[in-house]
Amino acid sequence: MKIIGKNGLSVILEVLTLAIMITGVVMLFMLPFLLDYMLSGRYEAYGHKYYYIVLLALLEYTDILGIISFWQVKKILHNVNSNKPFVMENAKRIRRVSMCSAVLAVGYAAAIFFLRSPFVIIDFVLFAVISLALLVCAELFKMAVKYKDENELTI
Amino acid sequence: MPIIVNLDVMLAKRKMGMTELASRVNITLANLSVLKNNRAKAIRFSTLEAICRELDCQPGDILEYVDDENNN
Repeated sequence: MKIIGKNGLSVILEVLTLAIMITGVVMLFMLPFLLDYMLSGRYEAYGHKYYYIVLLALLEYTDILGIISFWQVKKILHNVNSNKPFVMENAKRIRRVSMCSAVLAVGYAAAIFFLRSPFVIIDFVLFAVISLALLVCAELFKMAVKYKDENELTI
Repeated sequence: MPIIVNLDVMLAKRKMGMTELASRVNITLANLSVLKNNRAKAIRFSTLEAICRELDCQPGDILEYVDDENNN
């Protein structure tokens, strides 16, 4: 199967990213009702309202940053599918996704104090590692763009 | 960049046009223009050799080192 180019995996991924983004926007408005439905009858002993507010805040926060990240990924994939993968714009967008992950990690680190769940800790570690890895990727991409420009301007 | 390409000077001396040189050296006019306008990052020995051959000159006639301070 072709990975990059027309009818390749990257085109499918671009469409999928757009679909995830749209779902994210829908979820942004649906979350208060969905969460209320999912939490009904649970955590009554700890105070349903408390868990509802904390979880809603955390999930909305994740959703907004997720939408921003997926928008960047969609734009990167669009550039890749337009046959211009090694452009400085892509390096900047990877860096932006890394920043979003860092902000998410900070949010989950703060959430550890409000939600006693191992998943919050796992998410914090996950976003922190993703953020650092993407930061390295962005720098590598920047170097690749420089090498490509130099190669193109060798007569 | 402190390396200046004096290709236009040599072309004027030899009364040769850019298009003619590009076809003789077998590079595109766009690439020759990049070289002439000092936008090139590097030049291959093979290209330099071909230009020198066609213009009957030395690499020093085309390339010149100018200190950045002098350049400014």
